[in-house]
Parts: sequence; C-alpha cells; structure tokens
Amino acid sequence: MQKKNTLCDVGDWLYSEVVRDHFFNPRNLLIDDSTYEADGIGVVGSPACGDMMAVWIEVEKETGRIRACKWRTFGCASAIASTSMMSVMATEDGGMTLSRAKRLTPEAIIERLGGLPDRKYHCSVLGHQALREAVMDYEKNHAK
Amino acid sequence: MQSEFRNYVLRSKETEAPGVTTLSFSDESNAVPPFTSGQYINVYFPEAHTPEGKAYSISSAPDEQTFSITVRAIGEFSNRLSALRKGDTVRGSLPYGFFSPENSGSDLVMLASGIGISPFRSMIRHAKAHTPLRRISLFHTIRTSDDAVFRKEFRDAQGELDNFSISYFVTREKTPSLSAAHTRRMTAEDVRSATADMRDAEFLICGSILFTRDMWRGLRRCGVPEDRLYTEAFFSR
Repeated sequence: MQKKNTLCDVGDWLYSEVVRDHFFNPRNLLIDDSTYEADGIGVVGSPACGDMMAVWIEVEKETGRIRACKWRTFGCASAIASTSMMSVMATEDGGMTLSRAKRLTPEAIIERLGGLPDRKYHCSVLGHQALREAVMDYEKNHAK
Repeated sequence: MQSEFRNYVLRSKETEAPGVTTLSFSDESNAVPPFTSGQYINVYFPEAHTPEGKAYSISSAPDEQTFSITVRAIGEFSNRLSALRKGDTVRGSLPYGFFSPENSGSDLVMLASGIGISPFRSMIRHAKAHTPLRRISLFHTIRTSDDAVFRKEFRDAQGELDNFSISYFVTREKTPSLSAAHTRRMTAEDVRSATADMRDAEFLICGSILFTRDMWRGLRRCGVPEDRLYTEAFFSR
C-alpha cells in the first residue's frame, strides 16, 4: 500500500532518518533556564547573525565527566538535530570527559547523524563551540 | 562569544600566489588584538547582506606587529578583501576559535588543503619563536605548484626548526615544480606511514568540508583517537 503523503512531504529527504528523529524529537532541550543550576554555560553566535546557541552542562565532580548537557538554539533543523546529537554524545556511557568534550568535532557529530548536506555543515559548528565554551566556563569557575 | 568588534586598518598587502593575497591589519590605535595561533576573525561588510560575516583564519603569529589573513579571491567577501588598499578599514570580530594544539609538548601533524594552510603558517611561525624543537609534520594538498602558498617561508623554516617536515600532494599537474611532491591525492595512509607515533601525536586538519571529513574518517580508521583529531573546515553559507 502506498504511504499517504503528508503536508510537509518533500519526497526524498536530504536528511538521514537520524537527523529527522533528532529534529522532531530533540533530546536534552532546555526551554526555560530560569531555575536551571548549571556548572558551566556556553553561548555562541547571536540572533542578529542568524544563529545562536546556548549550552548548559552539569559535571560530576568526582569523575570530571559531563552528567547533563542541555541546550537551546535559535537555528535551523540541522542545528537542532546536530546539537541534540551532541548532547547525547556528551552524556552517554557515563558522560564524556572534559578533555574529550573540548575536542569534540563537527565531523564526529555529523558521522553519528548519518551525514548532513555540505551546505548545512556550518549548522553543526555552533554546538561544539558552545560545548567548549561551557567546559571552559566550568573550568574557570571550579579551578582547583 | 563573538560580541565585540573592531575596525581594522589594512597596513600592508602581499601577493602570495596567483589570486592569493596576505592582508596585514592592526586596529585604529595600531594595536593587535590578543589571539592564539589557529584562531580566526569574522569579517563584516554591512552592505553585503550577510549579517553573520565570513570567517578567515589568522596566518601570522601572535607576537607580530600586525595580524594577517591570507585570502584566495573566489567569492564576494574574498574579492572585496583582496581589492582593499593600504589604509582602508574593515569591520571584524575579535579573534575566536579553538583550532590549536591542546598539549604543549605533543608532536603536531598538520593536514591542509589549499588555502587551509593559513592557520598552520601562524602555528609554524609561533613554533619558530617559542618551541623550535617541537616535531611538526605538515601535509599540504594543492591543485598545482602555484598553489603552494608560503613555500619559500616553509622551506626556510626547515633550516630553522630541527624537526619540521613538509610533504606536498599535487593533484592536477604531472610534473610539479615542487621538489619531491607527490602527484596524487593525499590519503590517511600517507600520514600514517610518515608519522612515528600515531597515538601520541595531535592531528590538526584544515581545508574544505570534503577534505576535513575524509581525513578525519581516514585517521579514525588508522586508529587515531577522536580527542587527538581537531578540524577546521572552510565553508560558504
């Protein structure tokens, strides 16, 4: 039986199923940060420039691993999907170490997403920069 | 966060290769903003209807009297920049970015395609002044010998840095004028076979999206841990 087309059906999507899933069901999104207690915050871009990204992290003090990674963006579908995936990568398997988080690359995120069109590459850049800013903010505020 | 801006005055301009120009700036008070080798600035032309600007890697070392960007004139921004005259002013961000080595003593492996060589020139100049014994291996893939920007400077650097090597890969010439250049595409295997300790080196990859992706994947397949790989892809929106 032929699948019924929906209003937004554009035929063969440019995006992978993983991208679509993270866009329609973003993980770790933080809509209201007014009462959220983060250990580190990173913000990059600006709405005036077209993209903005904020990332909040909680760090497990004993292990130095990321316990929670929340985010919010003023960005497109690719920015939402890539940052959602980034937040999953940062917190899976007991949480990413801070040194590894600082070296997370767009390539690693895109690989996990099953690819992004080249013209959407820049959408995956803000997330890892904001994560890096959040880690640096944590290190600055929790210097030993 | 890139929320601070400066007006940068063009102090000098040098042609590096056909269509490639190095532009050297300082701000209106003749100062250079602090930066780390590997960082970039965003350039803004308000009338270009590109509010996010365009990023250019800094190609000079942090302790110089001016800071430089090296531009290949291939798009609206780059053509505008290349047409600037000494004394002209452009609006730009403060330097930003994290494309730099994480460990001060590690071996550095630098992979560049085309004008992606720019941030590595900054790092090599910095190494000459501060860490001349550091082991640095530079791999540069280019279309023709003319695209080997900074070739003389790098050749001279080989005499000043004890552990600096450079390998060229020329893809569109059968008999390049560069000595000992490979006449094919660069692969991760080339990097592996020329790198003594793959697990302890830091790998910095800069160039087109395709190049950075291919090299990142290839080096991962060669066993390089993710946190030893860092990328900076040049792209247009």
